[in-house]
Amino acid sequence: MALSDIFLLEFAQRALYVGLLVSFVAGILGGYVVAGRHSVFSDMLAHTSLAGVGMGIFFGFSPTNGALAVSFLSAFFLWLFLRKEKFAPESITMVLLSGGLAIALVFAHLAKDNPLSLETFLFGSILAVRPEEVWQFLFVSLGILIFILFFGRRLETIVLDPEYADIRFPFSKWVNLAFLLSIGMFVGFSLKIIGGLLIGALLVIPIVTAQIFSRSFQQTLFFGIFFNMVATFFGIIFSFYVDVPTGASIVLVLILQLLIVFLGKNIFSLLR
Amino acid sequence: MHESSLPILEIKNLTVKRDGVLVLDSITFRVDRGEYIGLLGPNGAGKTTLLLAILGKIQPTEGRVKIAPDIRMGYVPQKYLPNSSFAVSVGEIISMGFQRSSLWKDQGEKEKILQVLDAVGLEKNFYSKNFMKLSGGQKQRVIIARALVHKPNFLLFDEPTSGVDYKTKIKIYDLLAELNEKKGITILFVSHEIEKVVSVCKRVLCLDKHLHEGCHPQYLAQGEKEGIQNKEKVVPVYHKKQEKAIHEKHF
Repeated sequence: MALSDIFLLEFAQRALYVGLLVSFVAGILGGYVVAGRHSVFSDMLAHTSLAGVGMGIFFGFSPTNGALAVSFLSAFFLWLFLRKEKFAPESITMVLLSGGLAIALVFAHLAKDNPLSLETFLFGSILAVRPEEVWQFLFVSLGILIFILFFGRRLETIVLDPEYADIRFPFSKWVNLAFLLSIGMFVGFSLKIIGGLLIGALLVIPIVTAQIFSRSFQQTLFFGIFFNMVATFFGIIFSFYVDVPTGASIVLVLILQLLIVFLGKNIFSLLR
Repeated sequence: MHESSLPILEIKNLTVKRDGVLVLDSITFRVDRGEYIGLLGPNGAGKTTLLLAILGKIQPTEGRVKIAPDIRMGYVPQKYLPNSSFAVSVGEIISMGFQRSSLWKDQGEKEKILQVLDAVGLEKNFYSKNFMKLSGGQKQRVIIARALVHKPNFLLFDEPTSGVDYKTKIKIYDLLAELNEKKGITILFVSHEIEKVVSVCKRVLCLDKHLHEGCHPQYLAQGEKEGIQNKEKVVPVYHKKQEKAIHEKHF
């Protein structure tokens, strides 16, 4: 197959469009996620939302809607427990993660004869994305981008210096809730596209790569988005021609970028 | 009465209980314009609780906190950007002090940031430096600049307990004194550094659930309820204590 074939096939084009969109949004959200030390939370949301998928498969409603509902609820409970300050954040995360996975496994087992499998949502299937799912995701992305545009600076204060934000700005807690719900929405919608196991990678790895050399929050966001989109583009092309799972292929490119930037920075520092 | 002759802050019989425990007991004091007040107290004396009550983040169990309507409060917290190693530029940190929450920038925002950088004694080129790579003293100056950027006339300064050496602390005290004298900013300075507070601040308050004017908690702890009534007396006594401690340690 020639390299240009991917640009002619409709499903492959769709995979590229939606992949680049997901990676763009993940790059922006990821900056705030990593700065606020919410990396584990985002992974938790990706896993607990599988409970919604399991229930959807068993009861016969849309697994994506189920994932969205559970992801939203988990984000809300997380916000609520964090405000109480009685429990350590990682403990709450573990409780929600284990509970969500347990529910997902129970329902997946009960619905094992159903052709829809939990595996699709664990690993994603970007090449099987339907046109209406692209539109849905576009709509969600717009919502998240508008939120960041209007509250980005406040959110930056909240994730970097929560105590100051809480004292200085009266509506900080609501902006924080909207942020956690945005992550929930992103996770719920992108579950089928990139898979629960890989969502965390798109949110975290490019930002960590950008952090190696960035000197500001803005720079980190910019390069985070750039690394994410480049990795997604080449990851999809690689998986298309070599026939390996797309999600895994994207994550491998992300890791490769991280290694190159890390080594490049260290060699540059030695030579200087 | 003209607004400028009203006190900036008036606290009457302020009592705060947290989880049933009495933290502040019947605190009454007022702060006038242009004052530089040091608030001393041992750990757990309720200093931060008092600041939070002034900032309106804690509801009093009893009593009231009255703030003049024209007051813009600036706040320098004890802990800032806790445990973070995320790259963030000095300009971005200071712009957190602006009211605007969207990503759009106001006209002249950068100019305002450069002005406050100058006011806290940092060069213009600090604007694009990574905050996380700065020294403890430089970080503290940036945090003070963040509090100054929206032009406050009342600055609440909760001194950090770690990360800054003695020499840097002196420079920060001098900077605050300059802001008070040249810019006329009223300052409420919370600390447990008895010696410096007593020698720098124009008025000293001590807190250990109750408020005591002009005395300090070391004496309260020893049961000398009368305390020391003015700072001229506190300094020599404190020095003697230090000398004794050094003597016992080395000889």
